[in-house]
Amino acid sequence: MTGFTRRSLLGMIGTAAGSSAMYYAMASMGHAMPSNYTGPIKLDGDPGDTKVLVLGAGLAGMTAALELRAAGYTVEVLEYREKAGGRCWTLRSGDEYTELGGAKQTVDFAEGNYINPGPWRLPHHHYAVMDYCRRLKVPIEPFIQTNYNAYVHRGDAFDGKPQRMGQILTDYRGHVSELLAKAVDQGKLDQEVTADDREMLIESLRSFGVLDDQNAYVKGLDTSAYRGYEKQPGGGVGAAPIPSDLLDPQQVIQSQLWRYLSTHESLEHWAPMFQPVGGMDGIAKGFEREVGDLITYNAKVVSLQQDDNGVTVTWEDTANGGGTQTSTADYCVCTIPFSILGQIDHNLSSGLSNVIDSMFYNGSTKVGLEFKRRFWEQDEQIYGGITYTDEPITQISYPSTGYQSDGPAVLLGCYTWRGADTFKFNAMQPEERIEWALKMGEKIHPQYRDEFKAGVAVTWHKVPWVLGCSGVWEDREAQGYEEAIKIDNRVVCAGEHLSYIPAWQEGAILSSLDAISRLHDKVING
Amino acid sequence: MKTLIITAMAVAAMAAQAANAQTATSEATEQPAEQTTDQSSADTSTQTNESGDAAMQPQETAVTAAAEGTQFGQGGYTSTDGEEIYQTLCAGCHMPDGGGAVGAGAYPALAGNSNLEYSGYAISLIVNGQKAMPAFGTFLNDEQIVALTTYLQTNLGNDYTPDATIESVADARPAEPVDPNTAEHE
Repeated sequence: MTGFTRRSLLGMIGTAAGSSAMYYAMASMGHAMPSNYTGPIKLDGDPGDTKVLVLGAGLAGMTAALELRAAGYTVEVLEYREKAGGRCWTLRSGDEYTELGGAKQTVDFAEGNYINPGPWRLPHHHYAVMDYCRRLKVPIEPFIQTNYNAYVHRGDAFDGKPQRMGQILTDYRGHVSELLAKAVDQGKLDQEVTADDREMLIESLRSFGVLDDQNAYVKGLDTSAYRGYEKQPGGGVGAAPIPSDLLDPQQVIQSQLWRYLSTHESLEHWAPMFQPVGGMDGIAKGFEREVGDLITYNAKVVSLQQDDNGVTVTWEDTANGGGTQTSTADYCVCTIPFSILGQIDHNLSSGLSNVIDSMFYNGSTKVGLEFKRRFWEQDEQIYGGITYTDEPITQISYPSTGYQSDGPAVLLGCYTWRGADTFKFNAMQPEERIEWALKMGEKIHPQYRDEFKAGVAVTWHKVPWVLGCSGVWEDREAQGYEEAIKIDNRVVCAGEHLSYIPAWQEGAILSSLDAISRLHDKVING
Repeated sequence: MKTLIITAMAVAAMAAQAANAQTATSEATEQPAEQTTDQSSADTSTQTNESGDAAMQPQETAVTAAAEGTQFGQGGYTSTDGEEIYQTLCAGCHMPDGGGAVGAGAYPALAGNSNLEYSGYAISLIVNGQKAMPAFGTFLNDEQIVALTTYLQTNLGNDYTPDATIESVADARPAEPVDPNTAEHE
């Protein structure tokens, strides 16, 4: 023991070194929320004429390319697609997309409208993504995750009529708080709650649940100020507010609509969230501005071989008749998803190979629907945010931009994540997925059929360059996470699949920064 | 193969008819009062097949016949028909005709695949997955996997003697199946 309390130590650091030093000290002691992103990477030391071959121009690959070139390496990047970004991808007006099986969709959205088939929102605490947006001058704007005026919906609740999330939330919280306050007041929780805490707990429940001084959740202007009014307060004649009826506690509990109240409370969805202005691929384009000159597109890697002298990669030039080419380097950063790498001829170690072959890939389906007008805003006063439903589409996300504009707008009309429904959508053709998204969505918005203009549907098992949307670890320890992230002689793998934040872009970047830090250390220090 | 192509053509014709009928029927069939009950109902007789949107691009590939219909089928896979399971699950990657697909990687063709001569290999893959292919053991019961394997061995251009049994599927199951619906990200 040093004799210092934690607080007095922090006070001394703050006095001696200024507030930012105190912040970092706090973060390292677990008071704030640290990540292993600690600011722009520093790769000190001269790598000489060392060449690194980067496989894949997604965010992991382009992060590696950008930082390694800045550190003095010669860098070459091979990319299967015709453009950079990988799963950081936006489909917009006029784009064509052909999925496995040959179904081709031409995006018939109005100019400026888009859908992000992959990642679509940025948590503010994904420090690496946020910092690269800043450094690469990618403009971001708020992404509305939480909208209490959006709906929660289940077919077997309230006769299938969607309910405003704010009403369900307020009534759920009010009824639960009343029950708990009464139980405490009646001494039923005396074993858990000390006499000292009892009054303060009850007072907090009155505040939390909007209870009256009898600890009851009752109809009135107090509760309407939280859940909404029968008629809102106005001005002038006839302006007095009219309070709204409360839902029955049993109805609220049995509706199961509370299932949808916690998503936006989870850390990954804490407000504020952000999105790049104009589409998620703004991040891809930001990276591409920096490293596009290093990338060879339409390069399908067919072989990855290494020995004591270097790395040799064979690839097909798919834009020019498939002729075979060879690239060599001293080292390789391989960001090819394991779903693809497991099918490529390679001589990686058996330890790494085993991990590659143990990882299955997750499916997900997204459907973008363009409507002739913003009926959700004009008719229902829903500006951004997400409606949740027990229909297989799971949610409807309204655009977080362009509010109150005339003309067509695009919403996310389906977003499945794993599970049987994802496989069912995957087995359909694009127009069938769109039809189902309309069929399910019109149960919430009856305007759907009249206002529908165009749709595009992406299901990730059919995306040709990845065959899934993210790598799944069933058990990192048993499958060999530590083995997979090791530098395997001259090759190091990186990507979202080699992180504890799978399927998030932050995971891809953090994995890449860690991989190149260790690779650089090996180059400089042996 | 021939059967499948005919089925696909029939579905395309149905979809075209449905597109015409759709404007007249959709409002009548989607009133709020009916929304609560029709999700799990097996009765499709009164509903019009609405799949296929006339405004969309014509597709070059066959429409997935078994994915057509008026019931999406919430609650996972319930059919015990091998073809239906194949067309609503496996066909997503291995394609409706079993031809597989090639991108940066590939989905193997099941049509004319000699690994299907005996059912053991297919059963093991369906139950436990392999490489990037997820395990389907928790989505399908033993009877469904037998039906599916039998379909694979006797359709899609294959003409093997079906040899899958409930016992062989049960034997392939792991002692502790993983939860396939674990949502580590949503």
